Amino acid sequence: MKNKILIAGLASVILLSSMTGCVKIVKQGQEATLTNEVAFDAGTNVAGIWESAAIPELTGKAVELGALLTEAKGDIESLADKYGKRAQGADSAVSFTVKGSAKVESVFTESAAGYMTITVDGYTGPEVLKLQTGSVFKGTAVRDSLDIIKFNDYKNQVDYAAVSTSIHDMIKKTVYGNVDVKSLVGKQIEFVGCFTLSKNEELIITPVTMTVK
Amino acid sequence: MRISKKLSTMFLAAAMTAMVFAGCGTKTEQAPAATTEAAAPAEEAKPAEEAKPAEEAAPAALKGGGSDLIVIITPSHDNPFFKTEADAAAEKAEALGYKVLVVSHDDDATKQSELFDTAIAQKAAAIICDNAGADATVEAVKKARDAGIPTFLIDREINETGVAISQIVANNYQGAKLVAEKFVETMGEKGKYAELLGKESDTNAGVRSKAFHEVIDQYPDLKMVAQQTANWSQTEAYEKMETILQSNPDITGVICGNDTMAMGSAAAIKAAGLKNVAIIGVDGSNDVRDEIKAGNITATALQQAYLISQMAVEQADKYLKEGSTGLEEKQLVDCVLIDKSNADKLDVFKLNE
Repeated sequence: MKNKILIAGLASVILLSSMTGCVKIVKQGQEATLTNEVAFDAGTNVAGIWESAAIPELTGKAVELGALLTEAKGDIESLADKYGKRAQGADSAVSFTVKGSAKVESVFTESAAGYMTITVDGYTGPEVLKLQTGSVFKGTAVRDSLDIIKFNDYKNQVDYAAVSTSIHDMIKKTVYGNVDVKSLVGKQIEFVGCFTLSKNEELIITPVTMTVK
Repeated sequence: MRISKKLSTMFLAAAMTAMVFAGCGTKTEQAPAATTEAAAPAEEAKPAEEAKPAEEAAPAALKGGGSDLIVIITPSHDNPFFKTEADAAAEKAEALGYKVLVVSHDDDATKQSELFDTAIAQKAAAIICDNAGADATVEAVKKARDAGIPTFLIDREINETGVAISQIVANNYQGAKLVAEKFVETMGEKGKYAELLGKESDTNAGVRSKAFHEVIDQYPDLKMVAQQTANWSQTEAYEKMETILQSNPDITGVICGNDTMAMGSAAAIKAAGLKNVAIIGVDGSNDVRDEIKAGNITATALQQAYLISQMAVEQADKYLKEGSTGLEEKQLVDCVLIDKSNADKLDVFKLNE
């Protein structure tokens, strides 16, 4: 008798709880919707901000490369506070977002980390100016230039690094998708791009937009 | 029978009421993290209350356990990297007028938890910790937080924010990418190479390997012919490399997850009579520095242990005095590429400009 009562009780609890929807059956692979432990996907993350937020931010704050170099007089670091952005704290590397009208002087594609050398209109200083063409993009200048991307917002340095990789994938597609890089020699271009300062004599710029005239 | 009916009705009623009250529970019940911060030691309750109205919105700052002791917890000092960390932190803390307790968790999360208990029992002002596990450490740091003691993590990060006050993280990923780029360049973008991995349980072993391959795998003419773990150990690296060389005498490169394994590899390669093999490590030890100068190792990435430790103590001091570090919790400190051009300037994990 007691058993029966117990069973009836249990059954009613189970019945009730399933009716009120308090027991949820979760399909395999969809646990994340309940636990909030959403697997991080840098590709989706970047795709979601690239056109809508990243490009507008970078285009908006880009300074004329020729003007920047003229003002720097060989000491780009001196303009860090004025135009640059430090990824972390006062001692960290500084990145700049720049734009310009330029002529493509040469194209180097022997290495997978390809680049072209450019001269910007109206500037004749001695600096070597390189625009990365991929397929390997060195550094993390674009990620580090963006105010909308903060290390603090990512779970760990692996996710944070994945964001930069996805940005480079995006650049491959949007900047160089249909361009035959070798055909650019001698052409006039307009670009917006970012570089992390490592030495004054040579800037390695990662473009985020480029138009060939 | 009547009784059972009555009983089951009661059951039903009880169950229904319970359901109604409990709702569907899981969605909204999460207590805001801020409430745990209120759990300061009893004797501290008064000043905290007085301070409250001013900083209603922001979580109340931790005041420290009451003493002027800074507890410095790192992995074993057998590795000079961690010794430097502990020394640098102790030096800075003493200079700022704190007492110091230096201990090691030997990469054992249980031991680390006990050391946090010790720090709590001694009413530490702050804890500086290079932690023993990205997940396991979260509880220990919470425990200290509940006791009003702020923790400042150095070198390695944990998988949660809002628990520690600062996480000053060595950018392993960036450092490993940097040496990998140097490796690719030295290899002329082609050739066979081997990889020695670090201890599997250490997050950084995976992080570094992943970063190496993110760079190297983009070059189709670079082929990895062997990949083995040598558990961060020099002796193990020597033995593993000896075996690898027997079946692959034509490798022209070795990538190692840390400097001690790079040392072991370099020795094995020398013993085998091979020359011009590109070898890279990560850490920036004096041993590797000397091998770079001698031309036996190509490059390493300096993790700025000295700098990171001193930053952590400075931030702890500022936090205890002003209630805020003024900085984001998670801070990445980039590694510096060490090769022949700047090896001279490196000494005990510090680059002298």
